[in-house]
Amino acid sequence: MPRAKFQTLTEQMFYILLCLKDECCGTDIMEKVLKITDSRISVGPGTLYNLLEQFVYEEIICETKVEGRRRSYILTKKGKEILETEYKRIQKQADDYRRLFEEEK
Amino acid sequence: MMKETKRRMEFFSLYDHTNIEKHLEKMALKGWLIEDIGSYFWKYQKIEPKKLRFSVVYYPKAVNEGTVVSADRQHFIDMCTSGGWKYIINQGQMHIFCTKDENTPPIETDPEIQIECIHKFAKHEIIYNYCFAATCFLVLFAAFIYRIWKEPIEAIDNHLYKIWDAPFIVGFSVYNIINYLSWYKKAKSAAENGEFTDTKKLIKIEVLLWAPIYLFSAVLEFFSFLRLRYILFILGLILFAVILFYLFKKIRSAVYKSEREDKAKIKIKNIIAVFLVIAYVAAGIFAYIIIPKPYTHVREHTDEIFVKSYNIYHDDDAPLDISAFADIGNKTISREKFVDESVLIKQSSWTIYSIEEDDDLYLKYEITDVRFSPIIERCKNELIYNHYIFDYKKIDCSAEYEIYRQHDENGEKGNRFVFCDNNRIIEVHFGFELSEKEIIFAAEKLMNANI
Repeated sequence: MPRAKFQTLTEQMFYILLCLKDECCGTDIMEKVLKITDSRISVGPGTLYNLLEQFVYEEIICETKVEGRRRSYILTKKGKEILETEYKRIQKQADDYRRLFEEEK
Repeated sequence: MMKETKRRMEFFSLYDHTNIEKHLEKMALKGWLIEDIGSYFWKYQKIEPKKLRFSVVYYPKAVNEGTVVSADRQHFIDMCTSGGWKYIINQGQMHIFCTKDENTPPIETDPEIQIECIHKFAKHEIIYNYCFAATCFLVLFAAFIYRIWKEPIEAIDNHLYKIWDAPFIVGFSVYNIINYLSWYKKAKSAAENGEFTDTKKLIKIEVLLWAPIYLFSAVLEFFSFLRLRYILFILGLILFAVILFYLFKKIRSAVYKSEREDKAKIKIKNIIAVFLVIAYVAAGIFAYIIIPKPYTHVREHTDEIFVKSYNIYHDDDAPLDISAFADIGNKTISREKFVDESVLIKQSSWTIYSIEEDDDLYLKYEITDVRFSPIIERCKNELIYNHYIFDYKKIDCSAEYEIYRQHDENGEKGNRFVFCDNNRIIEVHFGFELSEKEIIFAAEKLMNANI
């Protein structure tokens, strides 16, 4: 079943949005994702570029400034809601996991 | 001195990023780095042989070509550069990057995004283009087959080999579309599970098919005209095409350097391209019209009293001459020959007449040799049984061939005849009355003529 666009987020989408809690540019995002995930997740520049464009189009993020060739972005209200929904979904999954395994103990 | 650049013919489908990357890596190991990508010829520049990793990615918003890049595309390139990749070249939406570092993260890390970008690229480059080509040639081919069925001589006479490539073009267009769509379906479902799918090596089979077909056509064309003026005509057209193409590239480059929106630049480029193609076709038609027809040797004769001019032709190898039926004395006779042929039929015709005032000595015949016997009946049908103007009736005579004579609506005999057997059909129009003996003589002479 194909995933409805941005209803649920892939890991890469999730971490990109997480980085955009504070204003940052594309290059910063790639570095931040590696740092946050301890190099477990890396976002390729092509993927990042396309996702940023789609996020801007869907008003999940917005462009804040253009300095030379650097473009910075930040989460919008809609973006924050999507990220929060995703966080709650993951947390619910984790809770369910924990509850089931704790019952067995 | 070592060559600094080289060109190679490459047969990759442009969406086949997996094999293009592998190929470019091999070339770099041999000391050749990609510099420019044409439709079939790719240009490489000499480098120190080294191990490089290549990445072929598709940036769907790229609408401009040439040396000038838009701000959006520059941003895309900058981002890839900051990810450790060096931009090499692009061909429309397809971009090629390389890196020396084996640990640089790939440009594409999400298969769904990658498939989305490839599909946007392929929709235009593969699906629309091949659908357009297939539809055009299918319509052309269907129209041609219909014409062969209705009027075999008219159609076949008109260089059948020129349409031979139509089924191949339709075939490989469909082949390319099906192959791409089957890869896309597989890759899309794998991408939903987070997996990347390699592209299959799919050679551009059209090159392999087109080359021999066009070579064959060119040879046939060459032998059917075999006249210096036609060779010059073709060379002239090629030269003109090269000049127009060079001019187009110059104008395009100037347009791209100008301060305009990308879409406006594309629009201007397309208008210029259409204009140049029209100029090319018009020049070709004009040149074709002004070139004299083959097998004619023209001398103009002007009658100063009546201010009339005649063309007098001197093709004196006619198998049947007007002099066999009438005394031509010192009369000036024009003998005009025209030969045209295809692989299925050959047509040779002569028009012989006296140009003297009030002299109606006239003889015209067209010999159709059918080289492909199964179509003989359809040819007879077109020329005899269902002729679009004349009503022919078979006449009984002692000749070895079938002879048909034209009759008008009142049943009056005319002076048009058709002689035929199973290989040859001859239409003859005499400008004078003939006896039965003379008709049989003409039939035998023409049916046995060595053309």
